[in-house]
Amino acid sequence: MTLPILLVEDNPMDVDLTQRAFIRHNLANPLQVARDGQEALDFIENWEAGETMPVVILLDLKLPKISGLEVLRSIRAHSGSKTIPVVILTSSDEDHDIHEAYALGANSYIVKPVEFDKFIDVARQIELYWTVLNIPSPSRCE
Amino acid sequence: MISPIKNRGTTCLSEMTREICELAPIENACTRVDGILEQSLNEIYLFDAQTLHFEYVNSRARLNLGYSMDTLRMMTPLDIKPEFDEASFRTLVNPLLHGAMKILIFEAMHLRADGTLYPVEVHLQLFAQSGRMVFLAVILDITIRRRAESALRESEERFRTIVNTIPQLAWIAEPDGSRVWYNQRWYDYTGTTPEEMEGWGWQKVHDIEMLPKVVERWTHATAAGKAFDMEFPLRGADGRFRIFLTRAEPLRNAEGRITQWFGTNTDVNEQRLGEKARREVEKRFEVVMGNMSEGLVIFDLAGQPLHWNAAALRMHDIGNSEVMLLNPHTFAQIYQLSTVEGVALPFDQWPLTRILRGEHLNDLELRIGRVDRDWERVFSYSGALSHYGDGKELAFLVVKDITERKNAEDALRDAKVNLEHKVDERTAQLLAKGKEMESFCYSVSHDLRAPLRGIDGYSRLLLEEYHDRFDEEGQNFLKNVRTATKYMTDLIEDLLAYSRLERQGISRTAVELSSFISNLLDQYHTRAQNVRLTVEVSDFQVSVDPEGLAIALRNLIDNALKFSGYAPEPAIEIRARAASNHCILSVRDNGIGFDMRFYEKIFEVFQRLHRAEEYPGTGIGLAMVQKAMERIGGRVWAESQPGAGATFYLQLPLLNASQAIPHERVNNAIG
Repeated sequence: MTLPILLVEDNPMDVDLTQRAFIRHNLANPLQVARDGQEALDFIENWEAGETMPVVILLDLKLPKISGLEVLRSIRAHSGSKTIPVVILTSSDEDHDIHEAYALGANSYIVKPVEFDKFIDVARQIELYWTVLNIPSPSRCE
Repeated sequence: MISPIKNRGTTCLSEMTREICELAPIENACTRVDGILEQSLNEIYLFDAQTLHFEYVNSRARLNLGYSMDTLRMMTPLDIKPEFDEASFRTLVNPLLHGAMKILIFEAMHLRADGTLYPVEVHLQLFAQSGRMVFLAVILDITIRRRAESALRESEERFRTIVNTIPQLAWIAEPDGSRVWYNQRWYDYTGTTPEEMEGWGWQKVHDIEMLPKVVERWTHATAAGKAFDMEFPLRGADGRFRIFLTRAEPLRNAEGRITQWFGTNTDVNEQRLGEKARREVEKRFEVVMGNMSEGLVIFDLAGQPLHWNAAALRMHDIGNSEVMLLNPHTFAQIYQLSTVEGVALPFDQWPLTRILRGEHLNDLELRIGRVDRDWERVFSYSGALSHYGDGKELAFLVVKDITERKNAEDALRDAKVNLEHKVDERTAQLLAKGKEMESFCYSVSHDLRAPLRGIDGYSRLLLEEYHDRFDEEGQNFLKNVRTATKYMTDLIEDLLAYSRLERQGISRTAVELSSFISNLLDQYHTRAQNVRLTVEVSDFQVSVDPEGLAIALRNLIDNALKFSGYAPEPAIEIRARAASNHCILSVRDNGIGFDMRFYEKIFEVFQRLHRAEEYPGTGIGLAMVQKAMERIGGRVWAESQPGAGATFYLQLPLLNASQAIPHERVNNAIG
């Protein structure tokens, strides 16, 4: 079973492009999408209730309702989700965002490239690093 | 001493005697005359004109002399007048014998039997008696008169001695005003002689201008017989005048007639000059006090005001007549004092009270108001006890009216507070604006990039996945969309970098320039492959914000590469040299250069001098350089000519000025 990747992203175009970038790299993991901060918190609750947790969370910072950093804080506050790798994928390259994200326990911070080519590179990196090389999925551990 | 004495009123007796004797036949009558002669209180002598032997000496004479008549018949006047010998006596009486004189009066000394002497006045007449000539001598004993005369002489002597010892000049004048005597001091002081001073000679030592007045007053005094009292200058022996107080009193005889004037001149020069000097000082003091803008009040140690100057009266809004009635207590009934802040001041803290306690006040600022009406000022008080003139201790209080200044200060303080308040407000507004700006930039970075990503992504997908369905023109359209997207992306990135530069704090660190530049140039390996790159930078230590310097240098090198791109042999030179306390880094290219007319424009945001298709760019690069240099504390400038390349200079602060000098020397030595 291939574990899902959770994408927390409010911009449908970005969601679509991300999905397409993954497809180009033949990334098999199903993509789950939370379209705002609240939806992301709902996912956490479901994980607590026993639903399958994602192999990696791709988290935008600027989200409607609840900000990405708040979501990150919540993920790290819950025992179930606190070990899930979180990659911040955002348009902001502001220092304070970067610092705060890492301080709250982000594993990586990637500034969304505007060019689609670079976006595809990012998708490859994520695949390589977080889903294949680095983290053994909880299921594999079992 | 023999001196003829004029009429003394004794001739009547002699006359009478002669008449009686001419009636000689009448015996009774003669006897009666003899009795009168015998009992006369005058001494009466008859002696022979030839032999000079006494023929008759009356009892008074006999008693006085101490001789009997018998003895006397054997004697002559020469025996009782020891100062005469016969020759001198006969010479004396000769005029009577020759009828040249009828009576001879002279003074002589009589010698008594006991050897004592007494002064006499002799009245001598010649008579013919029984065919013979006899002398009748009527003698007055003048002992008493002599004594009186001597006493007078002595008294006069004494007077003159006294008058010569007194410090004043003194003189005696006749009733008509002419002077007859001066004391020695007069002559000593004036340096004159008695001859010069005789009569009205005293005028010689007077001031010629004062003299008419002196003469007028003196004449008036002597005519009226009233005491004379006047001050005038008298010339001394040295030619200099001194002021004398001159007083003269008339001396009157028993009948009240003026016999003489006695006058003195007292030297009052020092006194008058001293007074004059003191008056001048006082006058000056008064002028100063009257004209000074500060109020000055002088009190005695009891707190009684002695003087208020005009300014003090004016400042207290009080009349001159009222003021002398004021003492501290009445003053306190009219005025009230409080601190500048308005806290009422107890009486024992009032300036005068404190000064009288011995305190020194220095610009004590107080509010003063009148109890009876609406009047309030702010005064500054200074003062202390001080010795004045004759050593008397007085309290001096100097008052300045600082109401206007105080009001101005208050206004200024209010204004300052207002201003500070406004500045705070504005600062808060600016901070809010800054925050807004930041969040705006954040939005720009996030929100503008998202749609661009969409445009780029989908146009790319279109080109790749629907390539077959577009003809060449359609494909060109899509490529243009992508080019525009790329430009807009660059623009946004540069703008964000510029605004970030503006917002970031500055962190200065020591940067080793040559290694910093070589690290930076590493990134240009591929892009600068066809460029002849010269770097001559010594190991200067500069104190800069590394990020800022990197931005500045990167932009300059980018520009150099860009604008020399079409040159036949592109060349870029990077050099550094040290000046006094900074280092000047230059980046030179041999590209198209620019017209110095547009110099001002090149450092402005969005200013471009070249067409985008030839030299792409966002027009933000040099503005970034300038911003970065401002933050470093350096500056940027450029030199260029169209077609002759351009040189950009960066002035960077050296870490330690002393390091710069050896480097420069080394460079010079090498050069």
